[in-house]
Amino acid sequence: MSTVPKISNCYQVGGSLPLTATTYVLRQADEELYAGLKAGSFCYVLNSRQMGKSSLRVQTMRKLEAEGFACCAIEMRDICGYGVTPDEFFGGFLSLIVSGFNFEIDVGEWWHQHKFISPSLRLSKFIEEKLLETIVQNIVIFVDEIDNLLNLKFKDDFFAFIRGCYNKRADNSKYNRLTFALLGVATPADLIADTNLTPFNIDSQSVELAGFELQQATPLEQGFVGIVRNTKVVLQEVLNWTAGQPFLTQWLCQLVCTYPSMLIYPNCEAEWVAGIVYEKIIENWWTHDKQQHLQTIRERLLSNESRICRLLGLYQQILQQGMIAADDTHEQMELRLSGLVVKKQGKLKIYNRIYESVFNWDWVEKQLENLRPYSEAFNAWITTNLKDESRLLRGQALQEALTWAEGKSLSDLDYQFLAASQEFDKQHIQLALETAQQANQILAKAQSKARKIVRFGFVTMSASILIGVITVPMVITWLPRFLNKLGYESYYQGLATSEQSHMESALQKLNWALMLKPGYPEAHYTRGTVYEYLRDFNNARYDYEAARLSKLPQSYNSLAHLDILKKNYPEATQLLYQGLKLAPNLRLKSVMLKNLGWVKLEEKNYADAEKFLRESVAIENQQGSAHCLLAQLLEKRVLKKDALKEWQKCLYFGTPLHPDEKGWMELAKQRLTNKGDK
Amino acid sequence: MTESEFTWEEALEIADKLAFENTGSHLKDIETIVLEASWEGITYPQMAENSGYSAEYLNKDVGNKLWNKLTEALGKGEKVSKHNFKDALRRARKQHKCVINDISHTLQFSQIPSASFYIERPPLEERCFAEIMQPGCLLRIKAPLQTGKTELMSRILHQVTHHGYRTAELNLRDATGEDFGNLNNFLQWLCTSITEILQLSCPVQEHWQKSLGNSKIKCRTYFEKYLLVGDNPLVLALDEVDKLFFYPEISGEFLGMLRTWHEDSKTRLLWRQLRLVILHTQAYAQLDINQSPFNAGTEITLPDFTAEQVLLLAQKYGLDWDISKVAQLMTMVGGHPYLVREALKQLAQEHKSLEEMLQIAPNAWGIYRYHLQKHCQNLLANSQLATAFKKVILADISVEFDEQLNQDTVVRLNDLGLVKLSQTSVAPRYELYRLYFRQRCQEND
Repeated sequence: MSTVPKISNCYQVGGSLPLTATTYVLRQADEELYAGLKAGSFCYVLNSRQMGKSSLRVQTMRKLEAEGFACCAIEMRDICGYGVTPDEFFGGFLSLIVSGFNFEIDVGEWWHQHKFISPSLRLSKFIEEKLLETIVQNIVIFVDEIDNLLNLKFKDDFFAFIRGCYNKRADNSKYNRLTFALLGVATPADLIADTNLTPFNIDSQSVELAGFELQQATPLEQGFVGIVRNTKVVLQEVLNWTAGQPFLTQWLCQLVCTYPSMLIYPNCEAEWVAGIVYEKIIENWWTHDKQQHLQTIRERLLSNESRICRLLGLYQQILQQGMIAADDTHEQMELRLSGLVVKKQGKLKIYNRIYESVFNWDWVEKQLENLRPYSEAFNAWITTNLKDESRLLRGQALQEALTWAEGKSLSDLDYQFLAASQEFDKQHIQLALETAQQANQILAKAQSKARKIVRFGFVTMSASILIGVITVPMVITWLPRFLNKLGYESYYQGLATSEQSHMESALQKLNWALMLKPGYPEAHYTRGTVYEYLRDFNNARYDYEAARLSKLPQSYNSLAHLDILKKNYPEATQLLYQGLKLAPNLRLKSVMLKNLGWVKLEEKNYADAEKFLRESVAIENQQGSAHCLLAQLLEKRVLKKDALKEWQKCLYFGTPLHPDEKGWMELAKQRLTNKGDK
Repeated sequence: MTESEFTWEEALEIADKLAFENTGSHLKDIETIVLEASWEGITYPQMAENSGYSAEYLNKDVGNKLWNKLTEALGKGEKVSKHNFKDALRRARKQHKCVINDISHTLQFSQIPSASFYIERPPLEERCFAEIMQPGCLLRIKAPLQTGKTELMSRILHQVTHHGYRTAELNLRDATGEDFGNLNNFLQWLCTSITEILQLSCPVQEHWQKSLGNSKIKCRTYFEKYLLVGDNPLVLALDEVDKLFFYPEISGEFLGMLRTWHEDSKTRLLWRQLRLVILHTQAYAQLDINQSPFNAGTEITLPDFTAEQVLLLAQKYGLDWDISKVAQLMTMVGGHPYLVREALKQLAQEHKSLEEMLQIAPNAWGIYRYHLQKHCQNLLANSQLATAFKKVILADISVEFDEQLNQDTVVRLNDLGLVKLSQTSVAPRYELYRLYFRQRCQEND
């Protein structure tokens, strides 16, 4: 089994697929757009981002060109730069047409000669007198990234130009040879203000872009060949996560192909793919989202403050109910354009499981919590140039705003608003401040008491704790956690300095924590760790068992570790299998896999040992132990060269603070110096 | 040495030297920031916007004091100001010429090692060579400070000349403040520079006057008409693209245009001739939801050296090392190409033990001074990043993500090469950074 990442270039994550791409998936939209343009209809593909619009354009152009059409693609992005004038805009459009159709003409001179005609009419004139005269074939002009027009003042002139080309068909048959296809992220309503000028209500065809379906998506399977056995099932699993969203599907296919550890067990495709999705996409998604796909969705939801609430509210409703009836209101269209939700059979649903997991309930709650609770009053106050006192907050509302503002970094205007509100509501705030001060004092007292407790030891502590319990009951919930943390810190210091006293102080703090909160699993676990370090294995086992009663995942691992040391391999195996099911994060999982590999190594089951150890380092490469064990395993298999590599990593990633690794690193040094001698 | 060769690094070196000789202390980080920004022709209000300090503070408390310091140090009765400091420093350089020669020599040596000192990082080079042969390719090499981007680019450019490709290598640092004045100026600078490098005589000015559309369309038709024609593909390599990020009104449109060019190669034969190589440190953060993000092409990230590669490099420097020495060095600086190379170079030149060198490496005046200062500047320019990073370096173990170490800060720290990320936590990228910045924190407290 190889852990070298496989390089796969057949998938494309971001940007349009080149003509030669083997993983282009044909959809119904391909046929619709092709047939529509061939029949001379005006077509438009308006959809959310990264749905494969430009790839569709590339493919359709090729098909039409093969049939003798003259095609040209114009991206509106460059034409529409900041502050563009009508002259630059229409002149730029013309310039691209000229170079797109390889005209031999000095277009600058031509443009200059007709400078008395308005730019949009000049463009029409060129189309009629030059383009349609010179090119005798049927012509299709693709206008991509049309949403760049949204902020142009004269965008209606452009649509009027396109509509004009259509209207002239009645009088001038030449125009029957000219067709346009518009592509972009927008709604027809966004694009044009004057409905009389819109080309969207003429005899035009809207092409809907749907996600990939399993039966269409077979070209995607080819990259899996040689990597997984059942390519169809894996593809089905991929689509289960992406619902065929083109960008996500290409991305996940690429991840599947390059994932370092292979699919091991038969019939586990679902778990395997799910693992990849969680590790490489969902968990801390923002570290993986190099293509800014998810980030763009987030921005679309959050960028306009006046709408965030309504958009998030609507989305939350869909999250809760699974789907809602589609009614094409502005908010719904907005949400659909973000790509986050789709309309299917009259219902609005979340597009796929990946979006649902990333933008989950917690995420929405957090965004709502970050919103100004006073945005309405705030915005109204701003529009009155900060003058209208009736907009300022008072009483309860002000309190809530202040609580919300605490610890946040807000704009100057926010602070001005809050300060003005406070001034206006002086009496109320006076009272509030006093209350807050009181609360602070109580808390400060409790905290200093807790510190004293820790400093002066057990006897003083029990007395003050009793007082503490009476005055501030909340401390009781907070103190054991604090003590556990301190205990862990002492343990860690002890580990780093090898001073026994730190370990003793760790035990003391943990004893207190457990006295205050009997059965507290985390503290049991930490205490077990300390005992294990002190090689008091009986007490360690007792504490780990206590933590296991609460199903604390790491306790399974630690118990297994004790069993390994005692050579109770079957027990260790069982514990690790149970623990793996509970492991909340990949880090713990990789440690458990490492220990499982260790057990197998000791049991001389080298095949399984290697499998688990490789899996472990695939998740977390910087784990010294796993490399040390791999090195021993490879030695057993007489793969000396490979073993030396692992010994190097053992030495590099290992730390002498780790009792197991300490011994292994000594071994590593021996092996590597022996090699050096020869 | 001609005037145009007077670089920012030299200017900083001179200014710092003058300050140190005269006052006994080196330039402060904030002074360096003001000096660098002034060097780039940035005004105080602009600086204020970028750095989070007030313009008045930067002008009166930092700037004026800095100019006074330099005036005194030069001691010629000539008043140094924001407007004439370049000339003043240039004149001062002549007196320090031998010193400077030394420095520019080391700088050059450290940044672009000769071919025999180049360490291959398979499969990196092969992948880039394969990519650059693809029609219309867009290669984005994104990696932190001094990790070998420029060296890799030189390798790529060198390689493609064997295939008859034409190459034009531009460093955005060479553009002046005026060139960055607006998109139009910048694109004209781009076209003019490429034309000069390719030794063509094409009429940039004339084309600009006569052609249609906005500046992006003019630039595009210029490429079509003059630069892309012919049988041999053109490789255009742009170094230090981060410089553009200071000019948001240019960067968004420019990077978008590169994306269009790359996309056009899929439908238009002529644009298949263009191969773009872009070098930058940080991700382009401005996200315009109405445009596709700048994500086209292939992103290449540079891995650190492996232990084997460090060992190989040590041998090239004539050091008789074994893997345990490598491990010792790598505990401090990992496999960071520049940090490793500097250490090996010093050990090869001076008779110092590895232990001694490692001991002083994290000091503010150790061999990594410039590298660490550069990081400092990046941090000082953003207090949010600085606070988050402080938390990371003060902890002894990895720190879990939280409110402060949130998605934006963590990703940016990672882009800067200051931290390494795991699934749920973050740690300093190298021990060197932990030690150095801990000292800095203590000094500041």
